[in-house]
Amino acid sequence: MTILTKTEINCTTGVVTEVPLTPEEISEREVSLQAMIAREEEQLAAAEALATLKASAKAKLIAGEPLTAEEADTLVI
Amino acid sequence: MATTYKHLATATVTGSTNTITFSGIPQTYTDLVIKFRTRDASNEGYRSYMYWSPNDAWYYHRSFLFVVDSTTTFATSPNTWAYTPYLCGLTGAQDDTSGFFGTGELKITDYTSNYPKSAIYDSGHFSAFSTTWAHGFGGNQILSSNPITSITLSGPSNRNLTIDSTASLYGLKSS
Repeated sequence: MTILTKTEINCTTGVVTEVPLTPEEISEREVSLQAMIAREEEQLAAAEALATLKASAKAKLIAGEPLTAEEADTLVI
Repeated sequence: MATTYKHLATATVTGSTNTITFSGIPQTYTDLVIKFRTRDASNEGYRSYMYWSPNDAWYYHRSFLFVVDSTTTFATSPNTWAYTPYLCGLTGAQDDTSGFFGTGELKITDYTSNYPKSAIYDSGHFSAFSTTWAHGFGGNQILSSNPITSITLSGPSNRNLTIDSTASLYGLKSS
């Protein structure tokens, strides 16, 4: 099992310390990073959905077909 | 007026460590810059993301643009988010070819103020193992109301940063 440690360097004194992370610190890190990853994935999905809407709007414009309100929103600045 | 960099501290990993913390940061500069060069304990010859946290971690906005393996990923935060460690770049893997690290620079503006602070970063990585590359930049707006007195750098939550990873902290001010 990997031992997770933390290194601290005091910029005022120059003292360096290295100690193992506590179970609570490990748990906190896991929870917060997973939350960040979930947010990034959510934003990526939203960006992909927008790109799909834009592509659909473009195809309909070229074909002379009516756009949905959502598709029209992607074209209005 | 020229801006001068004052080296404050360098942490060099001799074995492995999960986080690197710069504490006791002097409050006598206008901005801080951290330069990092890291590999984490991945055995996939690949890359992961780097994160940073100030002592006064608080709600934030953020934007970034990454190109990873020729795929573009970008995001902005239209809303204020509750604190999680802030993204600041890329880290390499320990089993990649010797000398290949993720590198980056993080700059934090007005870190001594009692008002929101902004940070920008720029980072890149090339994996000799997988012959793939990645580059990204972005920024955070941190809605804290206290000066930053310590900063922690970390890789993925379940991995240590490995040997020869380094991080240096500099203080900036006008000369």
